[in-house]
Amino acid sequence: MTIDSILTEWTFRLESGYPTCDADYDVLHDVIMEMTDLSETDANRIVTQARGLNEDEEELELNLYQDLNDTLKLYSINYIDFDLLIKAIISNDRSKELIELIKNPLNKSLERGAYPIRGIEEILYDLIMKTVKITYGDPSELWLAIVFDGRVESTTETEESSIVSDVEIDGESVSLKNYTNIKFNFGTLPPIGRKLLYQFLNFAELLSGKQVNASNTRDSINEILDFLDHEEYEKQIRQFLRSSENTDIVIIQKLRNRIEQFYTLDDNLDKLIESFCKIIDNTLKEKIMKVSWWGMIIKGTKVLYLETSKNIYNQIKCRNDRLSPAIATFANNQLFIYGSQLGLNITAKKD
Amino acid sequence: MIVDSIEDLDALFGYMQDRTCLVVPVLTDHQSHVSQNKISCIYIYTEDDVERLVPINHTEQLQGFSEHVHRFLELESVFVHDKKAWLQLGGNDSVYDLKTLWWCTYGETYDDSLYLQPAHHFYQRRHHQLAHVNAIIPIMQHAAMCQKIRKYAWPMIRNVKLTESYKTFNSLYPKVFAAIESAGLQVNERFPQPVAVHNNQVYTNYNYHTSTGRPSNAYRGFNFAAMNKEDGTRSAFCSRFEQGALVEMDFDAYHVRLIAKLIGYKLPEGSVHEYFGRFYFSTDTLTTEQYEQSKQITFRLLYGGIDREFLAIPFFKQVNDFIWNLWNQWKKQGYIRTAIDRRTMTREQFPDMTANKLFNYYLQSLETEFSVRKLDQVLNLLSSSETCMILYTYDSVLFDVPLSEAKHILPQIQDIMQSGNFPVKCKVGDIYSKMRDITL
Repeated sequence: MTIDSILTEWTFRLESGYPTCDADYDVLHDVIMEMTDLSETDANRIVTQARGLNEDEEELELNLYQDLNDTLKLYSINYIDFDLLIKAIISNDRSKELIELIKNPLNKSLERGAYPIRGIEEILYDLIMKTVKITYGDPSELWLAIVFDGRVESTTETEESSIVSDVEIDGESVSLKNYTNIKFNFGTLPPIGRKLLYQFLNFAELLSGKQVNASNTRDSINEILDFLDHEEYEKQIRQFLRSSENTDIVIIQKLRNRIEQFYTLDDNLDKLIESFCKIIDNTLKEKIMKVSWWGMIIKGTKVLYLETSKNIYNQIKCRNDRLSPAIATFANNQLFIYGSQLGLNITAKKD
Repeated sequence: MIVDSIEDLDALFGYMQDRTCLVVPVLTDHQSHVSQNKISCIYIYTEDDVERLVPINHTEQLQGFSEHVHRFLELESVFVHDKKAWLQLGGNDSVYDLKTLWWCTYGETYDDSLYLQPAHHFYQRRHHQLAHVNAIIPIMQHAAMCQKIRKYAWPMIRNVKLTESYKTFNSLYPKVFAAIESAGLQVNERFPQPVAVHNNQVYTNYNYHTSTGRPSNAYRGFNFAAMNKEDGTRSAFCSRFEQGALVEMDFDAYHVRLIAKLIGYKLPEGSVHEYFGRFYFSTDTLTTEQYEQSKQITFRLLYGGIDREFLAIPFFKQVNDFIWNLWNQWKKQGYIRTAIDRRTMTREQFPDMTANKLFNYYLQSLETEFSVRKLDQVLNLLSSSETCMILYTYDSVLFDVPLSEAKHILPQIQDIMQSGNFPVKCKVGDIYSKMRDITL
C-alpha cells in the first residue's frame, strides 16, 4: 500500500477530483481506514495534517497548556509534564469537548456519595492516567481538579508524609486515593500517635504473652484487647500499681511508669483498654481530619466516592473497646481501611 | 431516622418544602406488579443531610402512616426513585425520575438489583411463596438499601443540569407506559405463566432505558415484546369486557414512512411497497409475488445498506445521503442526537458502530420517540372511556374495547394514529390469536 494509491482512491471518490470542502476529508478518513491497518487515532492525525491544521497545532498546544494551568491553578507549580496529555487530547476524536471541559470546568459540588466516571469525563480520566506522572501523588488528582474546578496542591517539593491535601475545591481540602484494591491506604500515621500505639502494643504483648502479627492487623490487635478486657486482669494491674508504689526495684518502677502513662491519657479512663482506644481514636482523628474530604476512586469500576472526614472518622473509630471493622491493618505505620466498611459498595456498578 | 410520631411526620413535610428531596418508596411485595402493590415504607433524603424512613405497612412499625401516603404522593418537584412506578401508586406527575436521570447522565440502564442488601436476598429466597415479604425484612435493611440508592443518586441530583431533553422524556415516557402497564391484559387459562396472573390479568413492564430507547417489555419471565404469532401464545389474551373485543392497530410500513418524514420525502398516497415495486420491477402493476419481493427489497436496503444500483431511486439516494451525513456527524463529534428527544447516543455506549448500524439505532429511537407522542394523545382521548390501551409493540398497539364504545372511539383513535400520513391497519378479535382485518 503506497501513499499514491491512497491519494488516487481518495481523489477518485471526490466529485471534483480534489478536496473542496470539509466533508471531502472524511472521505480520506474512510479510504485510510479501508485500505490500511492504521488505528482510528492515526487516521485522524493524517486527516488533520491533510486538512492543513498542523500549522495551527502548535498554537493549539500552547493554548491548551495555558488552559490546563489556568484551570488547575498551577501558578507556582511547574513540575507536571503535560506534553503527552496535550498531544493526546488534541489527537482525540472528542478533542473539542475535552478542551471545552478543561476551559470551562464542570464546577461540580462536593456531595457525599458516588460519582460514576462516564462519558467525556471518563475519556479525560483515561488520557490523564495514561500520560501524566506525578511524584508522590496520583494523576487522578488532576482529573478531580478539572471536573470540580479545584486547585491541585503542591506536593513534589516536599516529603510524602507531609502531604495534607491533594486538591482544594471551594476552599475545602480533599485527599484523593485511587486504588484497584478494596483496602485503601490512607497514608502514614501521625508520629506521636504512632509512637504511643507501638509502646502500648509492646507493653500489651509483654503483659498478655501474646504477639501482634507483623502486619498489625485488626484481628491480631483485637485478640490482645480481648485478653486485656477482663475485670480480674484490670484488678491485678491496679494491685500491681498500688503495691509497686514505693518499690526500689528500678525494673518494676519502669514497668509501673509505663502502665501509669496510659491511665493518665485522659481523666475519665479507668480501664487500660479504654486508654488504648483513646490512643487509636486520637491518632485516627489527627490523620483523617487533616483534610475536610476524602475521595476514593476504585479503578475497576471507575467510580469516585466522596465522603466527609467527619463521617470517615465516625466509621473507623473504635467501637465497643475494639478496633472498628473498617480498620484493616497498620502495616508499615500506614493506615489501611476497608472501603466496603465505609459503605463504598465497591463491587456495585460494573464497567 | 425512623419516623414514629405524627409530629415528626409533620415536621418532615415542613422541612421538605422548597428543598431538593429524594423519595424512595419500598413496596411490600417484590414479586407483584407495582399496580397491584402497597408501600411498605418511604425513604426521604433532603438537602442538609436529613434522612427519614416513614413506615407505612411494616411489621416493625410503632405507628404506620398509611393514611398519610397521599401526602407523599402529592409531593411536587421531588426526585422519585422510579417515576413509572410512582405514577402507578397514584403519585403526582410533576416529579423527576431518578432512573431516567441516571440513564441520561451515565448512559447506563439503572440496575435495581445492585442496591439490595444480603438480607433482602435471604428473606426473598427463603419466603419466595410469601406475599408482601418486604414487610418483614428488618426495616433498617430497607434503610441501608435506600442509603445506598441515595449514595449513588444524590451527587448526580445535585450536579446534573436537567436538560430540555431530560424534562421532555421525564414528562412523557413514565406517564405513557405507566398508563399502559396499569391497564393490564385479560388472560384465560392458557397463559403459560400462571404465577404472573392476578385476578385473570397479567401486567406488562416496559423498560425504556435501553441503548436505542426502544422499550423492552417482559414481566416474570414472559416477553410481551416478542410474542410468537404461531405457537398459540396469543390465544391466552382476550377481552375483559363481556361484550367487547381486542382491537389491534398496526402502522403500515412504519419505518419507511418515518424515514420519508425524516428526509422530507413526500410519499404518495397508497401502498409504499407498490410505489417502490414500480421502481424495482419497472412495471406499473405488481403481481402478488412482486409485491412481496418489493417489501423484502425495501427492508433489505433500509436495514442492510443501500446497493449502488438503487441510488437511482430518489428516495434511496436521499436516504443514503442521510445515512452518510449521520455517520460523518458520529465520526466528527463522537456522538449524535436522536431526532425528536435530542438524546445523545455516544461512541462509549456503542463502541462497534458502523454507518448502517447507526442508522438502524437512530431509526429505532425515532420510532419510539414518534410513537410515544401518538400514544400520549390516544391515552388522553381514552381518559374518560372504558376502552384501554393494553399493549404497545413498536409498530402496533393493542386495545381492549367494550362494544358500547367501539363505534365512536375507534375512528377517533385511528385518526390520531394516522395523522401525518401514517396509515394504520385495524384488526379485531375475541382472542389475540384470531384477529381479522376490519375497516373503520
